[in-house]
Formats: sequence, structure tokens, C-alpha cells
Amino acid sequence: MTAITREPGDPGDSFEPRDVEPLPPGEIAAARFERDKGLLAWVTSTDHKRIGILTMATSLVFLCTFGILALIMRTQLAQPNGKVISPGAYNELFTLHGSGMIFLVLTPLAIGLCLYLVPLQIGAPMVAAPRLCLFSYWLYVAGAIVFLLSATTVTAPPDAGWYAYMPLSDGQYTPGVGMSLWILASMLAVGAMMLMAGAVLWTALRMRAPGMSLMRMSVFTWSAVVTCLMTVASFPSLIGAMGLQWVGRVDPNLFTHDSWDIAYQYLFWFYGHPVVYVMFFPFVGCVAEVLAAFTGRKYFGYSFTVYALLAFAAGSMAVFGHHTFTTGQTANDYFSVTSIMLSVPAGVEYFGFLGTLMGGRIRATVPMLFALAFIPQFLIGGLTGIMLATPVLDYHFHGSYFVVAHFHYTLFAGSLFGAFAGLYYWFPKATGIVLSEPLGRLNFVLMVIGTNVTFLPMFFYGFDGLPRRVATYPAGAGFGTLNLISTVGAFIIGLSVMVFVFNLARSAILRRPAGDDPWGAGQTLEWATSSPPPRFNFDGAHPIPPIKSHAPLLDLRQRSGASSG
Amino acid sequence: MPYRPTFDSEFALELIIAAVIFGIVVLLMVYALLQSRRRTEPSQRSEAKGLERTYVLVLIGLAGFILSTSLISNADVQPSRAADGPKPLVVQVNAFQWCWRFTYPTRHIVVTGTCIQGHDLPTLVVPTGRPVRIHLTSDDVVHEWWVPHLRYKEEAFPNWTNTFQFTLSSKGDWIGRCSEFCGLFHSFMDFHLEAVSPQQYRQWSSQHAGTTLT
Ligand code: HEM
Ligand SMILES: [Cu+2]
Ligand SMILES: [Cu+2]
Repeated sequence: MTAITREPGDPGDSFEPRDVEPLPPGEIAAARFERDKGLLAWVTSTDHKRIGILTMATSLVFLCTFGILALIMRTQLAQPNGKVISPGAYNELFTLHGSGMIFLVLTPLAIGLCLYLVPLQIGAPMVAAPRLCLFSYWLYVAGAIVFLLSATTVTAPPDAGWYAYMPLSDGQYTPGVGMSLWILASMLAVGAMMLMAGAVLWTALRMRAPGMSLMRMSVFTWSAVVTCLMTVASFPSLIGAMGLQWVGRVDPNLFTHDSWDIAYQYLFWFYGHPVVYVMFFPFVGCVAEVLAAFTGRKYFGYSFTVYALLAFAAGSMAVFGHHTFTTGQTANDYFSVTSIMLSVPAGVEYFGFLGTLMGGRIRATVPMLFALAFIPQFLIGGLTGIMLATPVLDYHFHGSYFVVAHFHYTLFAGSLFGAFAGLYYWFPKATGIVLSEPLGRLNFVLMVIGTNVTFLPMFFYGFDGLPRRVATYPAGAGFGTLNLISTVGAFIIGLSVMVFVFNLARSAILRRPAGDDPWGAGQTLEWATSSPPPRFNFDGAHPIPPIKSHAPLLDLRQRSGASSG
Repeated sequence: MPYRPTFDSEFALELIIAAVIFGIVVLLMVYALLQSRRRTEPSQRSEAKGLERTYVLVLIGLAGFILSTSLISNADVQPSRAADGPKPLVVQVNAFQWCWRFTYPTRHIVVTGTCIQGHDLPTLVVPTGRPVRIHLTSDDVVHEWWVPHLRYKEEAFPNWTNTFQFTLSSKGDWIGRCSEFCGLFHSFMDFHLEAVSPQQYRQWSSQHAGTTLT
């Protein structure tokens, strides 16, 4: 049963995977190779932790890249009749910013985090299909390279927006290789994440440690499961839509009937709506874990939260039509009903957040600050989402800056705040070194100010009639002042990201060691192992503790507290 | 009912509900922060099944209420099928890259422009007090006809016609915009919607019958 052989002295010596299938010999050879710390060992590793970290690190680099594009856009929009860049360049920028953020930043960040954490949290020594995960990472990188190539085609970078409606994106209206490369890039990146999500799902369902029943999985792991379910169910639709587009580019005359244009919209949003939940749920999971840890109690309303997540995932597949209320070709009432009903599971999630907070002893660590800010900020995105799901309101808001405000509140003020909560929380676990708390607090304060100063005014000028995706706007319509405020806010966000990068760089140089549980608050299995965890996650020195609930380490602390006191 | 009053009452309702929910959540967070200071030990309770069940029922009730107002308001803005009232004025609207063409089929008037740099915008002239029925289509890609003042928009597809109807009760001149991204000069694709008195409209339409205005 002892499948691993190691040199004496290696802490992995006495590791015995309990009841878990023996590791295949290829894995062991790979593990030996990976003891090298070189770059090559990193980028060819089949260790889910390394692949997860690579995926997240790559996506963070792109967060900065596509964030800088947003700063250029905001500079152009700071004043009416802006002349900083041409309308064509603006169109390229928002296309690259939006599609880059979705295909290359937030989706990989979400799935990469799941890949990193899920095996640790369920006590598995590795991910199912590790080579597939490595392949997915490289497929994602390939997609990113093609994406960057498309952006640098001198003649015609893609400029049809992130949902690239037909026939605007076909060979007649958007000729040129840039758009074609963009389609290939999105297929590659989306396909990559689909495969990776499949592996995570398989891991969570089939490779749990003894005692880890489904209803003892952490809230984060549950959020990862529903995320991966939505991913494998909806991402194929994008590949289909992009295939359709490909054909339309080869011969635009094939698709001269309206059915193609509207079918493309349906196919796209069948992916496009669930993907916003894919980019959201893992970060809800982060917020839940952080709230539980820093209130010192078991996550409140666990089972209702789990059912709500599952209901949400199921429902998410039936709401895509709220993006097409104004096409005159959608059953608006049906999609309004399904979309508004989603506020029920969303409300249950909020019950868990608030219930956990209300009985807790709150410690205002940096991850906790981000998690706390997430709650009201995402709520703004969610409540305005109900408005957008109301057809008579959407007839006014659709295609306006109101929508831009709404989805930046969900994606930025929501998801990204949750992501920062998670990054600050698990960074010491993943790297073994700690980040600076004062710098983290500065990062946080600037981020809160910047986010709200940037995106809150957008509700107002969207309501007043400014369409989205405009390269400029006339003077005299009264849009100037609020747009200037948004631009100032955007640069404050830029500053806060610089503080974050500085914080990372500083700790990489100082290398202050973290210890197994630097917060003294961890509740889930990953905090029982070393920081960073050993190759197969748990070993003789760090065995898997007994699992009796969704917070096994909290149980352990409470039991030892009870016996000693 | 016209779009704007329906929009206004539905928006007011949802804004109030949203504000109340937001207020409750913030208050509970503040309460949680305050009680946390007094606490030496976190609460051990991790479930309140009865409360949760009630809460889910309340949520379903609330969501059911909001979505019923959503359905009712959407039914309100559908053009009534009743044949009474004045005969609507029909205008054919064609969106194209990157401007608009308004055709008045009975009078054979065509109004168009170039919209270059936001100048040379076409004007859709309509009489007050009479329903205006728009047949909306596109010559090329998907566009969207939006008049913020009306609180209404609809997409213009090629090879497809959307029809909608509105009535303006007072005179005025409002800006209309394209709100679906349609390529290079999307930002400048504006038009005017001008409501004039029925006499002025009769005068205007007989004066320009059979002509193209640019
Ligand atoms: C520094 C922070 C950010 C700023 C200042 C910013 C600003 C903008 C602006 C000005 C637009 C163009 C709006 C329009 O014309 O329709 C835009 C679009 C968009 N942004 Fe951001 N953004 C930021 C971060 C993000 C993040 C983190 C995401 C996350 C995924 C995101 C996703 C999008 C998407 C999907 C679009 C739509 C693109 C399209 O219309 O095709 N943004 N953003
Ligand atoms: Cu959606
Ligand atoms: Cu347009």
C-alpha cells in the first residue's frame, strides 16, 4: 500500500495515503523530479498546487495588463470630446479589456484557486487527472499568447466587444486576422478552463479523504463544485458560438438570415451568463471561509448555504435571456421570472454571511476587511441586477453605463474583493511567507475608495442616457463632471494595485516564515499541513486530522480547549 | 400605459426595496461589529433551522412580489390591441453604419443624415397626441434605437423588423442614441426626436411630401 518511496530524512517518509488509490508510478517519478526548484520543474509540474499557483499568477499579471488598458480608456473619457485616442483605438481597448478580464483573468483566477485548494481541503494527495491540468494550464497560456498576438496585429486588432455579436464580427464588417485570432484565443482559453474544472470536479466528488462526506466539505469546496458544474455545462456553448463565428468569417454570405444572428446571441449568453457566476462563486467561497475564520465560529447556516449554491447553479442555466430583452425576439417574461427567482438562493447566501458575523468575535485582519467590504458592495451589484432583470427597467438601462456600473460592482467590487480576501488569507499557506498587514490595510483602503469613486457615478450617467462603449461624449449633456470623478477613482484603484504588488515583492524579499497556521484561526484541512504543503499535501509530520464536520480544525481546537480548561 | 410612467413607478418601487434591503444589511453588519466587542467567546450556535425556513419563505414571497410587478408592468407597456383611438402614424426606421433613416411611407418622406462627429443628425418629427408606430430594422449590423427621455429602446436587426409604439403628449426635442455597439463610429450615432403640434406636423409633412431630407 505504501506507494511512495523516498530517501530517508524526507518528511514524506511515513506518508501513507489512507484508503486512497495508490499513486501511479509516473506520479512518483514526477514528484522526484519536482524536488528541483528550477523554473523547468515548476512549469512542467503535475502538482495541483504548482499548476494552481501558475494559473493564478498568470491571471494576476493579466489583471494588471488589462487594468492598464482601462486606465487609458478612463483617461480618454475624463473630458467630453476626448482626443487622447481615436474611436477605433478605444473600441480595441474595451474589447481587449473586457474579453481579457473574462477569458484570461477572472475565470482562470477562479478555476486556478479551485485547483489549488480543493484537493487540500478534502484531504486528497493530488488532483484527479494531473497531467490534464498541466495541459489545461498550457492551453490557457497558448490562448493568452494568441490573444496577445491578436492585440498586436498592426492592421486590425479585435474591436467587436467581448460578446462580438454577429454580423458585426463576421468577415465582411470586421475583416482582418486580428478578430480571427481573438476567436481562436477565446476558444483555447475557455476550453482550457473547462478541462481544468472537470478535473477539479472529479477530485471533489471521487477523491475525498475518509470521513470527508459531501456534507462535511468546506463552503469553499462546495462553491468550487458548483462552479465546476456550471463550467462544464455552459462553456461548451461558447465553443459552439465561436465555431459559428468562425464559419461566418470564412464566408459571411452563409449567414444572411436573422436566425443566425439571434441564435448566436442565445448561444453566447448560454455561456455568458453562467460564466459570471463562475467568476463569482469561488470568491463567495473565499468570503465565507474568511468570515468563519475571523469570527472564530463555524460557518452559520452551512446546509442551507450548500443547497442554495446548488439551486443557484441549476437556476443559472435558465436566465441567459435577460441579456436579450430588447431584441424583440425573447420570451422576456419567462427570463424575468427565472432571473428574479435567483435572488432567493442569493438571499440565503447573505443569511450565512450575516449569521456568521452576528455571533462572532470579529478580528479585523486584512482578509477580513476585504470580506466585510464585499458584503455591501456586492449587494449593490445584486440589487441593481434585479432591476436589470425587470424588462420595463431594462428597456431603459440596457446598453447604458448603468449596466457597466452594475457588472463592475459584481465583478470588481464583488468578485475581486472576494479574491483579494482569499489571496491575503491563503498567501502564507501557499508560499510559506507572510504579507505585511499595514500595507495590506493601505491596499484595502485605497481599493474601497477607488472602486466606489469609479463605479458609483456610472449608475447616474447611465441613467441619464450615456450609452456604454462610446469613445467619447458631447459636451453640454452634463456627463463631464461625473466622468471625471470616475477617472480619478480609476487611478486610485491603480495606486492600490501598486501597493499590492509592492507588498508581494517586499515579502518575497524579506521571506518572513509563516508557520502552519499563521492566523491561528484556520478551520479547514489545509491549515493542518505545512506552509507550503508537501508534495502530496499531508505526510507523517502533518497527518489528516479526524473529520467530523465542515470545520475539522475548529472541532479539534474546541475539544483541546475543553479538555484543558 | 406609456413607457416612462411605467418605468418611473417600477423603478421607484424597486429602488425603495433595494434601499431597505441595503439598509438592513448594513445595520446588521454594524450591529455585528458592535456586539463583537462585548463578546469574549464566539457563539457556538451554527444553525437555526426554523429561522432559516421562515427566512426562505419570506424571500420567496418577496421575489414573487417583485416578479409579479415585473410581469404586470411589462404587460402594461405592450401596445393595446383595442382598435379605438387615433390611427397610429407609421414610421419605418432603418439603422445603418453609422446613422439613421426615417421613412414616412404615406407621405413618401425620407429623413436621413451622416451623423459625422455628432453633426448632421437626422430628426424624427412626430405629432403630439397621436400614437407613433415604429417599424425598426437595420441595413447592416445590429444597432439599437434608444430615446432616454422615453425610457425605451429596442434593437435593430438586419433581416428582421421590430415594432413598437409610443405617444408624446407634449412638444419637445430629445436626443436619441444608438446603444448597441455597431463598429467604428458607434459613439456618434445620435438622432433627434422632435414632437410638434398636429398642425405643425401636417404643415411639415405636406411641405416635404415626396422628398428626401438630409
Ligand atoms: C481598474 C479597474 C477598472 C476600470 C477603471 C474599468 C473600466 C472599464 C471601462 C471604462 C469600460 C468600458 C465601458 C464601456 O464603454 O462599455 C469597461 C468595460 C468592461 N470591463 Fe472594466 N474596468 C476595470 C476593471 C474590470 C475588471 C476587474 C473586470 C473583471 C472581469 C472588468 C470587466 C469589464 C468588462 C467585461 C467590460 C465590457 C467590455 C465590453 O463592453 O466588451 N473590468 N471597464
Ligand atoms: Cu446575465
Ligand atoms: Cu451603435
